[in-house]
Amino acid sequence: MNETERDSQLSALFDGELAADPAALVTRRLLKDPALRATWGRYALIGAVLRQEPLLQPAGGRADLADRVRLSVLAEPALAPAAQPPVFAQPGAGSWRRGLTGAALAASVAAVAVLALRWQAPVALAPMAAQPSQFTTVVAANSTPPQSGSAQPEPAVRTGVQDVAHSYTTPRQSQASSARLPAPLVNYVVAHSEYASPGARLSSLSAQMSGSMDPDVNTHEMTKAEVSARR
Amino acid sequence: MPAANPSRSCSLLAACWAGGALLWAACSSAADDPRVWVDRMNQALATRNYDGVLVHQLGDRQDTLRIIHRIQDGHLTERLLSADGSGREFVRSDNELVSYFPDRRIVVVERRSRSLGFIGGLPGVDANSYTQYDLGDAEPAMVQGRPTRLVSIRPRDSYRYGYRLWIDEKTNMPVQTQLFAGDGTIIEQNTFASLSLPARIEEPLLRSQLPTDGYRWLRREPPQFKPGEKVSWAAQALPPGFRRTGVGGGEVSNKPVSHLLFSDGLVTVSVFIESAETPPALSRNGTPRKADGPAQLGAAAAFTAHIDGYRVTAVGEVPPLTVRLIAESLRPQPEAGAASPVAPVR
Repeated sequence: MNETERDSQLSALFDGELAADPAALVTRRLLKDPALRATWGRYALIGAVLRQEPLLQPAGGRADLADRVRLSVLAEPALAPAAQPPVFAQPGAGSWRRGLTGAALAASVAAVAVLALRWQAPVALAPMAAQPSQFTTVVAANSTPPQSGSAQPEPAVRTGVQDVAHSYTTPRQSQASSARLPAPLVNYVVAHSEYASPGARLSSLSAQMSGSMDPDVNTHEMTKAEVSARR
Repeated sequence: MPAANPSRSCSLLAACWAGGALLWAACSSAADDPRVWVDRMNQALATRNYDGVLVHQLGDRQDTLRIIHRIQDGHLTERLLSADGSGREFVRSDNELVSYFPDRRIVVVERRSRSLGFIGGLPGVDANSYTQYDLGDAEPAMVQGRPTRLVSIRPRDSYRYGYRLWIDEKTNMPVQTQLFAGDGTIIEQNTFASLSLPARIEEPLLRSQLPTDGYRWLRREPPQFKPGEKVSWAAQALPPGFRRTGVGGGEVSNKPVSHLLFSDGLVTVSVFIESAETPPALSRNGTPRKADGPAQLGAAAAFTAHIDGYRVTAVGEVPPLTVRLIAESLRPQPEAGAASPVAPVR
């Protein structure tokens, strides 16, 4: 069975449209094959997101989904090297996509166009992926701040072909998970986000969701009148 | 004379062939011109309603969000729902962003300087872009069984990142985007797991349904910068291709801050300059926080340098070296009036 057939059977199973015998077969395969389980998990996730359902919380606390998705990413078969555009699986006839279409139509009066894309196997994002991805401040290796007027602590990084690699090396991320963006930087990140590259505006949200940016930093309480006016 | 006829018909044929070839080349270049496709994408993002599930990847962090985006009567409304179990939501109405954190029982209201959606286009791709970037033809590529055009904008040096955009042929929407470094490392990726483009999006879909009783409502006042104010700072030597594109002045927590913008045409780096004499801001537990040196904030790199009694912070979606070079290249000008143009190093 090729990948397309396999996926189409999986989505049929997901929608309860598979006859008993093939369903049993796919279920057995599902139990054995971690990659298939990952695909299954993603179908469930997409459905839940579209229905705006709260996702299940594990006993241990939150951040479950990111972990689950990360696990499922890890379970993916080897992906194309980062330098290459990823190679995508051919689409199957997964009927969950009909579900998506239906949901979208229900949500709107008329759909001009509906696309439903198969969940894509995310590519490995190389060097940052190897590090804890807290968007935390990294205090320069030399903890003494540069003196005013002569702020060149590490001239080696300034110029030169030999330093090209440095420019792609993300500064070492802080290991302390509690480390957060300092307040002065938050203002600047917020102000800059209006000029950020495409998609990068999402990364400031990401910073808030990962907990590396305190949601209430640089804020003040609104008055009761202000709050009630918004309700 | 008889000999002239074949020769003339030959040249006529050649002319026809050349004309045809030119015409073909013109047609094919318009169809494959990456600039045409990026323009179409920008247009789609600026004008269409959409509702999709977006997977945002940054390092090893992955966020799944539902994004509902509406443009109606020239007004932008956008709602993002996190799928991480926290129930967090972000609702943008033109210049206002309201963030709901049900897990913390707080709502944060912010005013922003511009009305922009979370998924931005890529303005500024034009003939000049070829100096710093290598733009190949918009190649046909299948994404999840849909025909798209892959626009690859590769950096020619290590001072900037590149972009890959998979633009849906039918709708011109970017079904996938990547920000990548010159060595191929992918910094950030956005992928639509599903996407619909409804003609209408009803109001309730754009409103948070969270019960906010008992929540703390907070306001964040981000710096408001007025463009065009005189700033007497100049860059000594900028990374290749960068030039100053904007200047503004404003206040942050009652202290004056200058905001300078530097761009290579595609990416913009912000520089914030404040007096270093003001005491450093305090963290939540009351201890001063260091904000000097390099920092990484999502896809954005930041670098803070101390120059002549000022704290100079550069922030942008560029390699760490670039923000550092830009921050360290700035010097106050002796005469405020003599705002000499920034001299880019080429």
